[in-house]
Amino acid sequence: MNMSPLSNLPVEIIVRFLSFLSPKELALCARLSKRFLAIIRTTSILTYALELGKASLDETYFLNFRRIENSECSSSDLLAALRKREHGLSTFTWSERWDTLLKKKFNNLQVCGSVFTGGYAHKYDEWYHVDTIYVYDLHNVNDNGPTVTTLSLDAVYSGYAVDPGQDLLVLIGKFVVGDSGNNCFCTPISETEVLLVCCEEAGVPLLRYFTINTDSRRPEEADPRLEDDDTLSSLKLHNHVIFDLPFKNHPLSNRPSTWTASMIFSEASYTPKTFSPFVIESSTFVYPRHSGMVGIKFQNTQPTLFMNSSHEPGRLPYTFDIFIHLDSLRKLKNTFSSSPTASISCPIPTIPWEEWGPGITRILQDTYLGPWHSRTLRGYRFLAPDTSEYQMWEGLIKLDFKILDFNTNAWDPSTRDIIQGESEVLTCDGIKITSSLPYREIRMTSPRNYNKYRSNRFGIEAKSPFSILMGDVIVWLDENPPNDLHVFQF
Amino acid sequence: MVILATSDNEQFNVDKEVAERSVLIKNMLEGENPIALAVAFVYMKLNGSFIRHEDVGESDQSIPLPNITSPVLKKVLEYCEHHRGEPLPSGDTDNADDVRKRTTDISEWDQKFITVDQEMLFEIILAANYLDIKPLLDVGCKTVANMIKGKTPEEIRKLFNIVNDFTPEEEAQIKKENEWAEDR
Repeated sequence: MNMSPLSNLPVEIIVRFLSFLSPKELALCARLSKRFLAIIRTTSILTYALELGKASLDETYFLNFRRIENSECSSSDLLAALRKREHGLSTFTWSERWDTLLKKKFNNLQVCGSVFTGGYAHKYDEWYHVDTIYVYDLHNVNDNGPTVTTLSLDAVYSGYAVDPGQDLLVLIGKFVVGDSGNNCFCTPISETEVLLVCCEEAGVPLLRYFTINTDSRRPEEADPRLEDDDTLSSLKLHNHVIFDLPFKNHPLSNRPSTWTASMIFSEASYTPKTFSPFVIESSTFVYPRHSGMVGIKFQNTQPTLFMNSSHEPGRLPYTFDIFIHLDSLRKLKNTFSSSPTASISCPIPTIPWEEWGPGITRILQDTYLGPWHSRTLRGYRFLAPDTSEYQMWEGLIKLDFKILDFNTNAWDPSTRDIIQGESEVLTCDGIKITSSLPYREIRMTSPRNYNKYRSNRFGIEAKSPFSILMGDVIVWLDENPPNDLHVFQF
Repeated sequence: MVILATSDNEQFNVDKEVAERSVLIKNMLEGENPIALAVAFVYMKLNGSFIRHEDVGESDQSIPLPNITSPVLKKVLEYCEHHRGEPLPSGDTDNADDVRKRTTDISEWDQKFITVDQEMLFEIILAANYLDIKPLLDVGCKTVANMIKGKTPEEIRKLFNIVNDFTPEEEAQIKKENEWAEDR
């Protein structure tokens, strides 16, 4: 028990005085005690300041943060500066835009970091919002550039991150369009551009490039689905702010300098129907930084798509299917050689199961919690919904999972188990909390789409607040009932 | 006049204008905010001094402040008295942000006012938080921030008696993560 009156102050007061500190001082405070660390890590306003502090020391960052380079100013100063930041891009011609993209953005393409899933939290009075998203179809390019479609407000909801205890919502280089329950994620590749990853039913991850119009306000509107929640009565809509932050030690810092955006576009063509999954049916609660992640990491120059998500405490966990075929990404990387406007064809290869390796050994030894992230998991355990009480825990994790072979004609979950392991989590206190993490069941996706998925090597389905990346494979861990929110950060 | 009663049953006669530096009390007196009113009712009930709505603001009943002691309230009222008549920060977050000073500078009077021992400092912060006196809360928080500035984690722990509950391995890990912030 900590008898210090300082660290026994309520969270919101601690956040308040921490926000008067500069990022550097904040970094020092993170070392004070577990509580401080947890507060700083779970308060996006502070996390943001920290990352900004780091970013300002990093010569490779590429966004327009030069205005607020001074890492000595306090976190609240930074945020005040950010709030007043003007965003433009209400109109532009594609050719200008394309030039800009070619010259400025994609030479420094960074697709990395996390996204917040869409969500809200009670008692916060600001709400960042995207109301227009342009979809450029890079596979349908004419003289004026790719064809463009605008996604409607109804179909697209922005991710909006809420900072508990703060009156400001901050998107920290992490952004999502739609909802993770709807099979799509987004990650920013610049201030106004977003790469959308849409996990299609057909089993193909669709990677889409979006431009976001940040120029308009809709203060009068609120999410009608949230109206029933009286805690949201004071919600206002504001311009959203999207930032991407470089990560100093991010794997992407070693990315090949010649890569361009088109490498990560799949060959699948856009149809309006493709985007139907965008409609949000459920909001997911946001605990900043931990609720949803998606990105492409490069491991030994292999792009690896990763996702991570959580659900709102007190609500039913959503279910979604994740189908990743990273070989298509690799192929794209390898085949791309001409200008970004080139149409790239990259059929999804069918790879025999055997080629993937002798299953068990490879998963356990090579790809299990792959080398770019730690085998040590760190998480915050929220003790109850809507509480600011949380514990940080840390430990090694072994998974209990089944991997099922898609490349068989007869699918039977009970007989197609390839791997079954054991699971346990050791907390930082050395306590096994296996029983409280019932992530036992990871099943193949529903048989109804089985034939479609056959071209993929691999598929996993789970209801989950939690996923884990094993090499190319993302395993979603099941947690039920969802009364504890377990969030894991790699 | 408004009568404020502290947890140790001391009563303070305060000018309405002074007491209304506290947004909590202001709302109670105005009865505009149903939540504040409900809170007031609950507290009054708890204190056995339940009164009807119309009575709130009349001078014959006191407003109980069950989690503030008289020395702390005295200090808080000293602040309110000094700053009486100054415009209250509006509830609007944007304006509040403008009002909030951009730096950790504290005015001379406030600086002198807040020069108290740590225990009192935190009591004042808690009281300001409870009473919803944002400028005072910020003075307190800035003071804490100023106390932290320029110190090493070890010095901060010592200053505030914070127990380092990291294992050496964890601490090394966190130090490594944040090594960008080290002086160089």
